[in-house]
Amino acid sequence: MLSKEAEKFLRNLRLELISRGKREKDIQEIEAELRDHLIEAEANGQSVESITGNSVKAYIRSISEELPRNKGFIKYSILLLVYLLGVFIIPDLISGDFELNTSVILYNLAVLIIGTAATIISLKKIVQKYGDSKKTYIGLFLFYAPYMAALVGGQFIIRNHPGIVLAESNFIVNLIIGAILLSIFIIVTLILKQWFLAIFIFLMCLPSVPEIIGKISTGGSILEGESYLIISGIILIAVNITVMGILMYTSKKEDKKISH
Amino acid sequence: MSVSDQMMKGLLDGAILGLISQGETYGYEILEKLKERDFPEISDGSIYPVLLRLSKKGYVQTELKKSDTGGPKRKYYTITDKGLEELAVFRNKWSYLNKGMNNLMRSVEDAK
Repeated sequence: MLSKEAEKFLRNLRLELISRGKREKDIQEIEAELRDHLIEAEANGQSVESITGNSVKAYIRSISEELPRNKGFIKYSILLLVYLLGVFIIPDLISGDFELNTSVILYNLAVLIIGTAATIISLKKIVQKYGDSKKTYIGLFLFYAPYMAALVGGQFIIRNHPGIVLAESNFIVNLIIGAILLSIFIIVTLILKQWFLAIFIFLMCLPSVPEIIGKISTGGSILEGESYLIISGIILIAVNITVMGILMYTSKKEDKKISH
Repeated sequence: MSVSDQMMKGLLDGAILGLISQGETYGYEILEKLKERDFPEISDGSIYPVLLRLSKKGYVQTELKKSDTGGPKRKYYTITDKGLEELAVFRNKWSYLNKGMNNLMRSVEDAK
């Protein structure tokens, strides 16, 4: 079979093409073709350098230039960024803790731009270097542990240093906006058949439910009209669960049909 | 990219198309044939971006067949009608270019 260097080159090629948004089918085809070439080349005593020349990067770039980009790549990248923004904001809205201030804006921008770029670059570097091995998992942990700590630390800082407050925190308004946004996010992710993303954002909001019930049950300070709005918010969440349940059930049914 | 590199890039497309026109073949075999015919300054991997380009333009078609090395299925290339038309144009232009460049380079040598 192939040498470690050849396998490493093919892995790098695959990762690079994926990160450049190339189509899965094209990636598989070129990888298989180069694998076939390398098997024959190594059997004849040639090395990976015979294919790549002086620069692996330049060679991968020359292959990448000839492959069309997946049309949905940019669209899905933008949708994913919007989804991440939703994951950060919606749970706070639902719990009624959300307050629009300069710190929140800066924090979310930093997480979206710097955090996403750092995650993609780090993941790529770690997998390129260690491949499918234990070291990769250790590397991922070493990246994610401080990253998560930074996220939590950042939340702590922005709560204590809100900067300029642009919109005051209001439990009712936050809950309604949060519930509507959550509905939209869940419905869109389900339409795109991204079950995991729908469940994930829902689970992120779930810890807020006892808090909402608590606030409603304390009664007194909440006006009658506002109670109605809270209830409608909860109903919206209940609708989400039902829609999600129905869609998951029908999807599983379809999968079963296909497998038969 | 230097002038000579750009020239080689263009010629390699025509050379590979010419080789594929002679019968069904695959990546490694194309490379071996190029080397047999003393095609200059070619790094082994440079044929694959060319093959992708030829395929994208519809000059060649591909078919996956079982490999005799026991590896993954091998991709075989054959020329299409569009590829044959392009090859005829290439050959025509090449013969003019070859003649013209030889005349020009001879006069450059005479000037020395």
